[in-house]
Amino acid sequence: MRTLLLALLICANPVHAKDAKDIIDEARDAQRLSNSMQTVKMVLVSKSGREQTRTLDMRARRDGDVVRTYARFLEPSDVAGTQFVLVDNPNQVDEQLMYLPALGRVTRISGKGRSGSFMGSDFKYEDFEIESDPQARHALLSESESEWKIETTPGPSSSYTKIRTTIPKADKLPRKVEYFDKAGNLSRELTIEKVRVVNGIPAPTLTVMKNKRRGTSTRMEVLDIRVNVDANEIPEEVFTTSYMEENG
Amino acid sequence: MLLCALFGAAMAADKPPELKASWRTTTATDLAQENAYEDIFETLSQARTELKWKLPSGDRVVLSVVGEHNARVGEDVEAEWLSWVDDAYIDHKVGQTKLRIGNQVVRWGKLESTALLDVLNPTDLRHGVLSPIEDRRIAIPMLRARRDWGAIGLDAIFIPFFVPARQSFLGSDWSLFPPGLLERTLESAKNWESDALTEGFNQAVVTGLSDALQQADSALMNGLDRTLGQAGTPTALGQGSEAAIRWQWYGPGFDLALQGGSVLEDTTTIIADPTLLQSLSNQAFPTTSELGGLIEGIGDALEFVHPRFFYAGLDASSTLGVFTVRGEAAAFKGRALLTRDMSLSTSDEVGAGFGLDWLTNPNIQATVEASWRHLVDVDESMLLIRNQNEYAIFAQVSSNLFRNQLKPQLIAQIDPIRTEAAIILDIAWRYSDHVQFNVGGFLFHSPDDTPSTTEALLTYEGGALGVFDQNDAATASFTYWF
Repeated sequence: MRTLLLALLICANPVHAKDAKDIIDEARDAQRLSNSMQTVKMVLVSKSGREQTRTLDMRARRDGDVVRTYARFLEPSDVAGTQFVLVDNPNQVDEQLMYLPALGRVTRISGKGRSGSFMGSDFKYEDFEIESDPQARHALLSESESEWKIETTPGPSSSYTKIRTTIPKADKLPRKVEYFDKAGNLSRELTIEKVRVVNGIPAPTLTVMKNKRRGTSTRMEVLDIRVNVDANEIPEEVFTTSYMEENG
Repeated sequence: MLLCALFGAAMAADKPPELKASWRTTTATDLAQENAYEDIFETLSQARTELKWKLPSGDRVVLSVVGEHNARVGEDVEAEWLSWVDDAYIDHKVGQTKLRIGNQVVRWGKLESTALLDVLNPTDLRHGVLSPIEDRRIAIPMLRARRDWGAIGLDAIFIPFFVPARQSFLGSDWSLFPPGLLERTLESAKNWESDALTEGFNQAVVTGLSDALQQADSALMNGLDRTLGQAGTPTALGQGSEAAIRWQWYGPGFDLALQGGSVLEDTTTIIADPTLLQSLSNQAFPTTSELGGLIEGIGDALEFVHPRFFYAGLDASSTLGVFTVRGEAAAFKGRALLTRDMSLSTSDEVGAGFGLDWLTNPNIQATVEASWRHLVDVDESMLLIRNQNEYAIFAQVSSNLFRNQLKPQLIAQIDPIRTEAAIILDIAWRYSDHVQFNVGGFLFHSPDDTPSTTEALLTYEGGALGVFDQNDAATASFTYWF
């Protein structure tokens, strides 16, 4: 889980076939972020249409290969002040920290084996995984004047058997990702419905993940975003236990 | 004064403050009523408001206020309104040193329910398990200074004025003296032996006290309870001051901290005059000659004390596979002990504990904690209330179902030596972003009966959980977040 922007790219990440990999590499290079700050509204919609809203303040900082992500819940009131830090370091085990205001202290979380729904939403933690699946197989399904369609068959650790990604040639930001379950049925579908160009980088500002089996969906709306900001605006201190305790 | 300063600072804020407010009402119904004096219905309502401001200077102001209403229905109806300032502090930076000044909670150590090192803030014990554990720490005036050097941090705390734990002594099912104990003692005292000279006087005093207790209204009893709660609080400048320091190393994949301090016992130790104790044990009034001494020292008949102790300890946490592992170890010098003759003694103490969390699956979380405490060089036979070795086990499992709308949770607190346990079940249903309903209950188990008379209390072999053996109840609560 780096930033939501990166996360959306990740959907098309496990692509290793030569042509497909070139496409993904180009897309990643075109939208590579260094440091970002954003406010995100996550709306969980039940089958009956009832909505739960969560608002998060997120910051990400990149230092070489090390990416640090900080998230703080602003709403709803009962979870406001809850904070997460993830340090994604390719040379070390990922660090995950959580601060719960009620407990008043930082808890370390094991990142190993983290699975299931992300914060009760239709996103899964594995949707946010950055590392490519070395066992995945990929194929370019089709190519039109405006877009590529890539089919990925992930390795055995994934809960999916197939992932289809649609990438427009214009900005290389994936617009649609379809996830197929073990039975081969379409289980979830991610669409990017709004895009805003920030500092020359196309950023998804409204993303919807639909759970086709349950009939639920999650809207991820970016309320405010700044990309490639000066590192001084996101000092390393933000990703420390001390900062989390002070801002609980 | 502090509030005025905080409000003044907040007026200079350039951004609107973050506001959190909530209302929660919890009811507990105990229809079994094993004890004629216990309550059959209790409600605890709390309104909490918290404001956080970030000032243009970079300083930060936090102000939190709590209003509480507690009603208990049993033999009679008792109710009480209280309000207090919870967190109320300002964060200010001097060079690289971060200062936090004002009412605050400092949570050190890694254990939550079997903590050894969480000794700085007193706890609110008035409502037992009816109050969630995270609401039990009381924010108190402190000056906190913190300095970080990369992964190393140093924290220093100064507490200028001692604040005792909030305990209920009388009147509630969660009181230190179980419900009906005082009434039964006075009733029994009407038949105690006296010598001929003082018999009339003794009977008049006992009957008068018994009648006064019967007729005392809720406000009077609440006032008496609060007065007892404050008894023994050091008031002289410096006498009640506390200080502690903590060094923390936040390494890759683990963290380690060393700490130490000089603090006072938050909970009250009650020491009884030997003559009074002898009367209670023998169920006989003091003789005329003893009575003189007792009256002379009436102020010392019961003494409430908060002795000072020193401590040092370390805590650490890391991850092991899919688990988070936490641990604490501590050594104390001068812990207060109540002896069988209800006098004060002190002993050094050592202890250690660990916690294991499985938090990796967002749908199921499980936590286990266990701790051991050992009193050094103490004869077990002289101890009242506690044993030389104490063990505590805590387990919690919870699940998030239906996109976090339904959250069942089961908690067990176990005293393996005394075979006592408290089991708490809670099922939360999140109706909307603003509304939550909870249902559940708590069940206490102890082989020892809850002491119902003073004599039984003085020979009680059970532990803290056993005192609440009669408090099994079904609970329901409603929470609204504004």
